[in-house]
Amino acid sequence: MDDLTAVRELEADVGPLTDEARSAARVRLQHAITHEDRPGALSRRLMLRVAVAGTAAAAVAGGVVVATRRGGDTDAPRMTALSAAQLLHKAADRSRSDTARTPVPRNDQYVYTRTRITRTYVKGGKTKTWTDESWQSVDGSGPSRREEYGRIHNDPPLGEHEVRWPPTEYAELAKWPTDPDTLLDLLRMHTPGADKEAFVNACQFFVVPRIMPPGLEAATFEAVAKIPGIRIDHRAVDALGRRGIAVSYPKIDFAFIFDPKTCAYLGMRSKGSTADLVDGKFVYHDWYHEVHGLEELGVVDRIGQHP
Amino acid sequence: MTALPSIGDRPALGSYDDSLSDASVVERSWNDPDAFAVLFNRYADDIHRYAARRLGTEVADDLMAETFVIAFQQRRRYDLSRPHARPWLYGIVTNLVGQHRRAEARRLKALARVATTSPAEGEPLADRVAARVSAENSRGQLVGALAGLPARHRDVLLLIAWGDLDYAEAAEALGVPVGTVRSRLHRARTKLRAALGGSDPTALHEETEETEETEQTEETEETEETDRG
Repeated sequence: MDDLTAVRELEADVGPLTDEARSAARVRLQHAITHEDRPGALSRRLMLRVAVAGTAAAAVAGGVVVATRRGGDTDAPRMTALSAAQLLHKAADRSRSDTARTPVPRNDQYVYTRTRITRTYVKGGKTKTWTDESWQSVDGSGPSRREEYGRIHNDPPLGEHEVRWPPTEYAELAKWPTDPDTLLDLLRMHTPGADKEAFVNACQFFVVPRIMPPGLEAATFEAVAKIPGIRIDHRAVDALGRRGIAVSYPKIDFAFIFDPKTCAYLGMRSKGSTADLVDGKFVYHDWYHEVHGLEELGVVDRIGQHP
Repeated sequence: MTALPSIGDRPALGSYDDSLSDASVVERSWNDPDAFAVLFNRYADDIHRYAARRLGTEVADDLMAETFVIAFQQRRRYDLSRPHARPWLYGIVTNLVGQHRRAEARRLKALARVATTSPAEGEPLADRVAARVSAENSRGQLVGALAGLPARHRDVLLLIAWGDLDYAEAAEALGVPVGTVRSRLHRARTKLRAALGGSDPTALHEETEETEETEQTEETEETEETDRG
């Protein structure tokens, strides 16, 4: 045998790159990207230690953590090509099979949420995180306390002519259709072709978390699956150093994030910027990505109480 | 009630077409560092495999990660006239392998032992057994010879054999002239053939010519390396 061929055959059966190692390496790269211009960045040794500590810790090193509301398994195999609609249908199935539901809230109760927000600036710089706790009056008849980016806002009860749409009141939501076609028509506000609006309305259900009656969350995912033009986005989520698949719509800043393996809904991704008013026009700068992961959702009797 | 943060018709953030050349990706990453991840997606497996063959998967996990971090940090020094980033990345990982020479030597020695002593599994025909034993033996000798090569010769040989680089790419990876690559490869292969106990006269002849034409380069370089050492 030719000596070069013989060398080529040596060690040819070496083990492949594991998903865990790929993920850890990707996180290290993302860490380097995010901390490029930052003096006093973590030492390499420390980074290495964090990176090998496993997927959960690896995500911290990358600066992005998403709480998996239903304990979604992050030890996923490499993703196979999945269309956005297929993914949404799986998410819907999972939502339906999720039996551990929160209790049905009464109108005089509060929906408690704890949300973890991670903001990563597009041009690098320090990743910011917040853990916000909010208590929303179920029907808006009572005051609400809402924390956004660590700042607490005390909202008065809704006024006589104020309503929330889509509703947060459980009794109202229970009237919503759980058939995806009918729901989509409602999300389109009965305007055929209002796909963008329908997508945004579907996002609204999750941007402000609420207790959904059985089947409504699943129907929402299935309705979104019917919107032409939805996109599946593996890469953009990867760019945050975390595993997940996003379902987005062109030119809309919000996207749903799902666990790549279990297809469980994980949270919302959004894109934003700081806007300055210059000569009567908005000038956008400091673009960032945010991931909002719902860590806890529950029903309590008063503001300040934990489920 | 929570106001919905603005939803606008702003341009979507860069999604990088797979058709972009590596050089274009690197250039984009100068202003948009996140773009660099595209190179990771393209080459992480290749780089990992090469490192794993040289040092085992465990070390390779670390070296592959380190390779992309270093590449990212050095991306402004990338020569944009080179469309493919593979040689550049292989150069970085080969340098990193160089920091593990002892581990590599241990690994090769262990491999050589395994190859030489591994018993032939039950084969029905006696001549097949003989062929197997002979193959195992020569594999052991080959690995032994590989272990005995000077590191710079082994780097060239393995970049070509395991990294699938051509001469020009190997030269680019190691930052040496193509002639040096040719002569180092020639020397490495001569030793391997000697270890295997045979030779391919055609190949030998072909490469003798190349050696002559590049001898000058190699000599100069050997001196440099001696100085450094």
